[in-house]
Amino acid sequence: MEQTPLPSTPEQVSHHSPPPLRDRLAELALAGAVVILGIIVIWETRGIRVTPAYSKVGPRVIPYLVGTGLIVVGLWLAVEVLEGRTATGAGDAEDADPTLPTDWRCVGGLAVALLVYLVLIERAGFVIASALLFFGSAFAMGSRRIIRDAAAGILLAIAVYEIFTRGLGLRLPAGVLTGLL
Amino acid sequence: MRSLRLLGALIAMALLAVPVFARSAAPVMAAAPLAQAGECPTDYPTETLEIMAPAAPGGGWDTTAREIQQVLQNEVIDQNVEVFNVAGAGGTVGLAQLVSDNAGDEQTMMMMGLVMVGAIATNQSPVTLEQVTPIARLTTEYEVIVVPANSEYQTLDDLMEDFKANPGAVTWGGGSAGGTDHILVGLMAQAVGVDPTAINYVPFSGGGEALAAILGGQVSAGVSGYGEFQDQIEAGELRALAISAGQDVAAGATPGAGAASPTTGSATPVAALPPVPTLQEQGVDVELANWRGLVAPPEISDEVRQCMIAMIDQMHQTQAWQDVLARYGWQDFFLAGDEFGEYLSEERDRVIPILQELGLAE
Amino acid sequence: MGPLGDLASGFGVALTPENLLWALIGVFLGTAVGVLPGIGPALTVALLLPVTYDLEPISAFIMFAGIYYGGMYGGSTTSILLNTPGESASIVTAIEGNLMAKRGRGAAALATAAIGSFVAGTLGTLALTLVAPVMVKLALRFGAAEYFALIVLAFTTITALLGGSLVRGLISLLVGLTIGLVGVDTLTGQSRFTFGVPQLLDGIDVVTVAVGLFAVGETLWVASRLRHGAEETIPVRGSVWMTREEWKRSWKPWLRGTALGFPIGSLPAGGAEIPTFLSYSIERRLSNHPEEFGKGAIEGVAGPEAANNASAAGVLVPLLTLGLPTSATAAILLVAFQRYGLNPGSQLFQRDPELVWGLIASLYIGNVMLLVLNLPLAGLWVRLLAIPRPMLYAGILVFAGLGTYSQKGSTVDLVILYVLGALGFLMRRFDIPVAPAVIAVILGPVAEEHFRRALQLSQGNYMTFVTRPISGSILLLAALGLIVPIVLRAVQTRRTPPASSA
Repeated sequence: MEQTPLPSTPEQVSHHSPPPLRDRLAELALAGAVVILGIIVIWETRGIRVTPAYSKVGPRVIPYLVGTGLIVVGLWLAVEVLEGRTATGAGDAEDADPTLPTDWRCVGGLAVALLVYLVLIERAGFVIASALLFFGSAFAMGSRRIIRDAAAGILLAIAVYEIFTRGLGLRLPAGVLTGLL
Repeated sequence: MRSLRLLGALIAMALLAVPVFARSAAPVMAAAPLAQAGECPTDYPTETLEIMAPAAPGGGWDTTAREIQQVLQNEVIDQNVEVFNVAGAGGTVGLAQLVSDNAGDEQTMMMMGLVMVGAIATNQSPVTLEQVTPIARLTTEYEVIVVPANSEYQTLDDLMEDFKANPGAVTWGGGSAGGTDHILVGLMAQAVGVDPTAINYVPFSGGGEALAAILGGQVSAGVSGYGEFQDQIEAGELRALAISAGQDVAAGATPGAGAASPTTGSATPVAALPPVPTLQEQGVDVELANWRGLVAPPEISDEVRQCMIAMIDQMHQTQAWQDVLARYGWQDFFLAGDEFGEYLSEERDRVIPILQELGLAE
Repeated sequence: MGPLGDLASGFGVALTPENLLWALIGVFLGTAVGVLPGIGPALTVALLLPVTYDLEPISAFIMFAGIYYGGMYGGSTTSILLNTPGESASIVTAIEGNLMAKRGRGAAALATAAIGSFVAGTLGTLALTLVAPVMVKLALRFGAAEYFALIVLAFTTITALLGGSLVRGLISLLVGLTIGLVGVDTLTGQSRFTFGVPQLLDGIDVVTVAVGLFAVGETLWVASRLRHGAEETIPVRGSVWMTREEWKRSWKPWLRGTALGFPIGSLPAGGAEIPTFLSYSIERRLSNHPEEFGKGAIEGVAGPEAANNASAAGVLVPLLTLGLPTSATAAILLVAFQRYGLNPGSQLFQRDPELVWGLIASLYIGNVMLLVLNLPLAGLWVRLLAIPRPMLYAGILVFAGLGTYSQKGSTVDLVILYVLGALGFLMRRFDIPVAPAVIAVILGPVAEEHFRRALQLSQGNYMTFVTRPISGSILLLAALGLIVPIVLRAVQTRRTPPASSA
């Protein structure tokens, strides 16, 4: 842990030997997505109503510029990828190891925890939803100290709820625990 | 386990931050319920009363709702009153929530006002005020038209002369597009025969920015609620050319504006009408009140509706409410029940056409 | 009586035991809410207004001032430690601050932020005491054209953040601009890119964008590449406190940040974000360690933090002298003044000198309290990082959800947060820097607004941007800022013999 991790500089990246085909296809897909976003922006801009009110530059001008810009940088990226310049080693987060393949089970677990939170926050209430989110995401990220995580999640959720609803008079849904908290 | 202890310590620290002191300073619930007015046969409300402010904390609707909360729970009812905020889209997000989630909910009311009438049209809200149960109109603020002290315009006539000659050259600074300030300029244009689409109205986000632009001479004239400019007008930094009150209001009510009695002279005197001539007095036949009121969700029984009206009527008659009006410089603009419902539809018929003409609504 | 005499009597008001207690409560609360994303000083003061009804006005304002300054201090903590900015003004702090924390220098980053905030807050308050009337005259000369020029200048900072690949930096920038377009167009009231969702009419909140792209995006990214094994923690390397070297590198950025933050904060539409961007870019250019930027440079924390605190003092200039609220918190304070039947404005200093000078004196006191409170806390806060990864990231998600949901009490905002989190994940996957997008979300909409407003005011004359003296000078400065480094680099490469570069 003593050596400072060296974030990959672009020079290093571009000097790699030709990147694998899969990466290049993914990068091309990204370029395509950017171009498509640009087209959507321009398409939607055509539907913005221009008022008869006094204005030299209307509400459509800047969106058109942004949409055009997106298409240009999307194509630019495509050219770079076809020339063999892709970035591989992304991110300099110390907790992440960029050489690892994507761990979809872990990401999927987090996504489930987040969706459960979204569904439950107004139905079951803030405390239950938050405690489940805490526990679920810790579990998804590989923690197996179930009792500790559950206790921490419940304590955190109750503490936050009490501080904000009582201390500040903020409204957070009490849900099924209405009357108990 | 070290980390658990740490977490515990952190939580304890956070708990310490609870504003125990602020809470304990909150007003003690002094109020024994006063005798309910005749129209309400039952005890109302039977549980915590909720008032929705369909805007972020700190704005006009939120402030009004929180003042109503204080007066109701201190002087009128023996239940708690809670205010909650549902911000977004000129109040139409809150309106949609009131109509869909709160239908038939007899313990909930919503703050609203002229701005919502406009926002429903400009945002093409699928939910309208026809679906809610009108309770009462409570306050209003009149709009004022100002110029900086060093402006060439001495009177409204001066300003209108240039406006009629070259509408695009007169820049009006005010609040958001389609808001009360914009509507007033549109109505004025109509009244003096200027094409509303030709006006050069410059919307600013937030009162402060508009005020700065007016003081700095960036715009020809400014439009806003009188309260927002009051101090600058009294200090002589801005010249008030006209207010948007109707002639009848202006004539009848110079000192007290219908308020029950002058308050015991703590703060500013009772919401007196500002000493500025009205638009109508100066030949521009426009009046506009930036009013606020309360509505209830749809599907409320007549009985409960009567009780809500009685409760608000009772609140309106308290000295505490009159003090609130005085403190904020709001005019008393009370109108309850069906009459308020009629007023709502009249306002709709007046405001939407001008918004359509300004190109802001379909 | 001169301002110093007035100030002395103000201290007399503020130094009563009762008022000191309110100040302490205020700074404590402010720090607590500043730490959390989404819940800022404006919301806190608004929510506390009704319960402070029975307080003396001066006590209430002393507490509010404490919340206001405390929020500015607290906002940096989660930025640095968790990459989760509490307020839009501490977004820049997250960029270098979080990298410092990851290198084990989190405590030093917190310390330089706290001391920088103290220096800036105190100098800013001093400036408020002495030069408020002059500042106001200058501030009123700023119109839409000047603001546009200032934002262009701030935009040039993005060039420093675009990262190694120009095209990837530009993608980030344009995606940010696209997000910024969502909502009602201020100038014409037309809705843009709202797809019929009423909750989108008010636009996408900047803090939601920052929390989504930074915190949720990073959590997902880390999860996808998690180093499995023992529950690792980030060790604190070296001294917990700032080293002599770090002091040496911090004090100039503190002063420069203050010099940027106070005047821009006192502009009616200045805000706290623009000075933080400007400070970041200036420090990056002036630093003796430019290679450390992007890896956790202390100057990149010290400068912006000082700038945002100085701007907090600046905001009080137009509020107290003209009754002009220029930030969300100032607007709420204005409501508070009205609530007590006081009209702030040019007459307030004459009418209620005790209140005004008591308030200003309490700002000095609050600053000292915040320093005393925050320096020891820095050592404690940094131990948050000692929490095992899964729990730490779980906690980040809980606070991200709380901050986003509680702003409007709407699950639509949570959906937006998740979409942005997924976007942040993809951007990391494809090596696209996140910071330009966040900055574009902040600056893009205001740039468009001021640009079009300036044209409306000049009745369509584009020359307004260059012929107005202040606007023209700032634009010239921005152009120089872009061109000079390129020229310098060209000259340097020509002079350097190719052998030495190998």
